[in-house]
Amino acid sequence: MNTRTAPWQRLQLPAAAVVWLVTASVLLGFQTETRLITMTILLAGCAVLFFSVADRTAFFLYILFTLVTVFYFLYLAFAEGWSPGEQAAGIGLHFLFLLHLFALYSLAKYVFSYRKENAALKERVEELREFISEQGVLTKREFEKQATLVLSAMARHEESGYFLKADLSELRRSARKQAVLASSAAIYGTLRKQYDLVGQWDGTTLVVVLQHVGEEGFAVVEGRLQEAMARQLEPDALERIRWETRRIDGQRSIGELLVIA
Amino acid sequence: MSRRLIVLLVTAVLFIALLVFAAVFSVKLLLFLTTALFLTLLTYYSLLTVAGLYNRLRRKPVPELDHYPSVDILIPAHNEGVVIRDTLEAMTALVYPGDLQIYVLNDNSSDETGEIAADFAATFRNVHHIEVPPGEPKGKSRVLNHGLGISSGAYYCVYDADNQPDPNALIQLVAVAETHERSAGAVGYVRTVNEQANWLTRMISIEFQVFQLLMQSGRWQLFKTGSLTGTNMLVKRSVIEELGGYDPYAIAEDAELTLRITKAGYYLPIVPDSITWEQEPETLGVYLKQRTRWLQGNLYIVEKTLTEPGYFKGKLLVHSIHQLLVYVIFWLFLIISYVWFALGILDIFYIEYTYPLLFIWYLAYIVYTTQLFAAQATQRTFTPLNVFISVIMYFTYAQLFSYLFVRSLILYVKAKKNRQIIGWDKTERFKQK
Repeated sequence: MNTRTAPWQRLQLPAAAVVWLVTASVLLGFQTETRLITMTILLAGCAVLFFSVADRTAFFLYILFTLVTVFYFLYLAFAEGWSPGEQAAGIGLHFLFLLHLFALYSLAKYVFSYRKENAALKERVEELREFISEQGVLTKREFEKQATLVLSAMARHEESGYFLKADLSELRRSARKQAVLASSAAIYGTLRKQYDLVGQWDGTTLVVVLQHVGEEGFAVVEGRLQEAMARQLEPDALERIRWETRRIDGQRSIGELLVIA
Repeated sequence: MSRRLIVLLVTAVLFIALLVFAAVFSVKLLLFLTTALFLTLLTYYSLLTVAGLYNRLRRKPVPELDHYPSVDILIPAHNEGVVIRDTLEAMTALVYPGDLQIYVLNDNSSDETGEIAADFAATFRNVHHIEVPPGEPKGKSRVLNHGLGISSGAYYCVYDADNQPDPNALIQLVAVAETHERSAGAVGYVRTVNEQANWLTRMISIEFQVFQLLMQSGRWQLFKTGSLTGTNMLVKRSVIEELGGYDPYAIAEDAELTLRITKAGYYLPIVPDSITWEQEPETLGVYLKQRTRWLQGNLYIVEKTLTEPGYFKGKLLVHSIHQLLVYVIFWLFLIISYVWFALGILDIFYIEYTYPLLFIWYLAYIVYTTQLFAAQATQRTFTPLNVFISVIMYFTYAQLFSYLFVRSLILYVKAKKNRQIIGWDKTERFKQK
């Protein structure tokens, strides 16, 4: 697995930290002695606030502070009758403050996103352990792996079951891809999630392994399956699907089952 | 030209004459008026930004219904062969527990649109390929009226032919529409599927995100008003029937219908988590054509607002004032500021001002850029490149509005003078990479 990150990504966090520190120093450097303490408390308060809330709330605060301060500066410009030179200085100072806030927000966001990413990765690892894709339908590789385990166990316990193969290649070209997805979802929806396996073998073939099912049970499953598919597909489209069924009786690999007489 | 329109034009000329008079005899008065109005506008947009952000932060879970009413999806399509397959794949993947019928309204396409739609109709039970008979005036409104005539669901939902909604987009719209009292339907969000194609598509995408944050979520939070967006929008059949269907002469049919729905006292709740992905113009030529059509549509609405009674009452006031602010007052300010700037540069006109105009300009820039940042943050599309594009958008993309407005106004007035119907101009599609 490639775990390398782009140089920009590696630099984001240190760059934000440097901008945050430099802008804070400049902003404090501009203050008169009487205002220094107030400004220090203000900047420290902002930092505590941004780090203690979620990234979305931090962003809301960033926007709110930006707008409130820019309107406050405008009020000062009107009240004190700023000359063009003073206005330019005001713009510079306000822009510096925005830069400081943005760097602070970026730092808060990175910390929050690393925490969130860590949780998401843990969840994904759990999901991958089960080899189950998001829709519940297995990929070819996953299906082969799981089917081999299931078939071996069935052979060991001398259990019977059924193997189904649906070929959708005769469906109309434009709608074929979506029909395969719709059918796989319909099949998966009708089966027992903890026992049976559904996989997509290739672009137009779906495969199913039914564990511990006799002739009668299979008839029930088949009926339910056809009903589910008929709810979505036109009768003509249903007729174009080629079904092949084989009873599982001691076969230990999917390769043996795919050789259908 | 109608008598009302003549009165309107005379009033506009008098207003401009008054401004010129003020400029000649009392520059300070002119400066005070424009500054006060401009600051009011900026404050209003700042409030919308904060309200929009607040609305998006307060995530409300979408309710689950005991019964999901029947819905008809209407997809007007004219020569959409490049995109229609992707669209229908997305439509058939929609998750909806109630009765859902999908109608492709084929408006005399000469490419493979019909063939692809027919393939889907022959495969899926709920997909129908409808060939719309030719007729005048051309355009989406007439096609939608035809679609309403051949369908019968309790709701209808419009999707443009280049749209790919998320699987749960529709179910969320219905759930919100059903649980809001006096709602006429519900409106979802539109995102740009080809955002990364080039800088133009990125700018369009950011503009869409801003519109949805301010004009949809922000206005919903402050005034409980929403706007139909032409796609990913759900409307009750009973409401459209009460209003007499679409106005076939409206080019911006969504905005026009929004005004009538609001006028009738209905609500249009916004559902930010119901998302559809739409293709936007990838070349400047296609963009200019599309936006000229949209602006002409909005000028038609401005004309209606000013010439027909009842547009300045109740909640409709929010929409009407907004239309006038954007398409009349804001544009007038823009022109005044350009003329002022040019005269100043040429040393023809000079005043000793007492207002901090430089800082007001900075304020305008910050308010504009803040909106862009806020919109991207809510959609999680903040990237270094998008931040850079947001910083330069004020000086590039935003300035196109003046050119587009003048172009649309000239074409609109010309068409009115020659008593022509403004034709429907289809947006060119691109094959998705």
